[in-house]
Amino acid sequence: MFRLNRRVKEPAEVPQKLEEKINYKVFGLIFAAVIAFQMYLYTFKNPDDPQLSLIATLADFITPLVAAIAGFFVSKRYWNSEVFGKSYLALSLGMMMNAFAEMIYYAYEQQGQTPSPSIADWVWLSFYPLTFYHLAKNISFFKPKISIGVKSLVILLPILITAVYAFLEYGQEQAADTTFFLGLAYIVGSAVILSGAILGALVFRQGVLGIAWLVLALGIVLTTIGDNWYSYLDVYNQYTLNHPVNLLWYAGYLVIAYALYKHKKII
Amino acid sequence: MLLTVVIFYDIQLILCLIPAYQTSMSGLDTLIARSLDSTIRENLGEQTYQKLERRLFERHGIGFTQAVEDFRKLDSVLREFFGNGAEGVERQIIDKIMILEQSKRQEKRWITIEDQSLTKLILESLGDEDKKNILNAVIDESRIISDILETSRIPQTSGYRKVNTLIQSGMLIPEGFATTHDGKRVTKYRSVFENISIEIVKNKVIVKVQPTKESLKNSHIMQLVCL
Repeated sequence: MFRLNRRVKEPAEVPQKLEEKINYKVFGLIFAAVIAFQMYLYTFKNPDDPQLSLIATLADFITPLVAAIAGFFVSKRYWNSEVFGKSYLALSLGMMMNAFAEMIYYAYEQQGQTPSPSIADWVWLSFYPLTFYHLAKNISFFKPKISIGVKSLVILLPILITAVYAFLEYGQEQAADTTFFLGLAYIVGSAVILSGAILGALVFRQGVLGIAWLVLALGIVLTTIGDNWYSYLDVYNQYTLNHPVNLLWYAGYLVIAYALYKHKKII
Repeated sequence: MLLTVVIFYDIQLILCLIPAYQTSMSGLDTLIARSLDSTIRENLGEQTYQKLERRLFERHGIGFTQAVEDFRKLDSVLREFFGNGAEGVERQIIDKIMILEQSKRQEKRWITIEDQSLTKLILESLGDEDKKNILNAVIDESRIISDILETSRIPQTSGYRKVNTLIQSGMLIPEGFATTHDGKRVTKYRSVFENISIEIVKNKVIVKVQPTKESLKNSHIMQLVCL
């Protein structure tokens, strides 16, 4: 029977322009969480405390795992598509590799060994080509022609970052040994993906998907700064398990997870 | 073994009496639109396709098929989502359908058809003797349908049907009007291509076309993507 008092919902108004905004509360929450966690790590007086090692490793494992799971959800959504499906799978595999590498390194530590380079290093390094594939696949599809100015910027940025690192590292060690080249590999990898992420954000900047790419670039910026800072700390033997550099990695992965959520929400 | 057969059809043209709604779109766009739909699904995925379609309906009140034909609307929605990346999407889509050869003279560029359904459509049109004669009748000048049928010596009944098929598939495009003795204004039609080259290389049929200057100029898709 037709009811006269039935409430009819107002039809939603169609927006003239699609809009997607960054929820700064999410950023606030991420940074508050990682800072609080860092404060907790500071309560350990001894940097070699086994409990500190376990807690720090768990955080190192969980944060990229969260991003990897978010990436799998995105790639599953576009599974049959040529660009999104494959590229997001590669990105999530890259994150997964970071999580695995943490566990491998922890296993080494438990056995009292910390070889350099180790299997963990190779697994860590695999993050860069996988993430590069993600960025290259998207950029080459969406922007096959890039202006010379942008190309120069994208090429010069990693060269500059690598050159500064190589200069400082060589100045300190005065030897181009395995440690030097391993450190260099991390720097080159992170600088190249930073460059790609910035380019991606530029390509999509006028569309709603640009928001997701901006957040992704921010996440990669954080992890790149972390990688660079860690490399310098390693040169001067100043890295500890509760060093604030960890904040950048934790926050970086969580920001990347947020970027993936945004991507899934937008398209 | 390389077997190359090159056939140049100096297609001649047509005139026509088709309703105005069929004349609003460039012939080249109609040809391309046939393949765009599947290419978008393949590259961007079903979910993205649905999202784009929903937005198209919200903003322009049209479905995806119609938007593909009205490329400017599709372009605006793609840009809403992908920003400058829309340009790449469009270029990729077009590249899957056709390859535009580089030439100093923009209006004399050859296009190699990559899409199989489009190749089939062109070959079918040329394989039919009547359709080939119709196209030959309007290669150099636009004509009204009755003139085309007279020039190509095709019976009226089947002739009108075949002309309509060619118009719907985009092989014939409207170009100007003529006034009949009783004062009626009727549309004149012309072939969308000036030249068509068919090559057979190792069992592969390669169709190359040279659109008319007007069809290139009137094609929204070609303007946005290729030129």
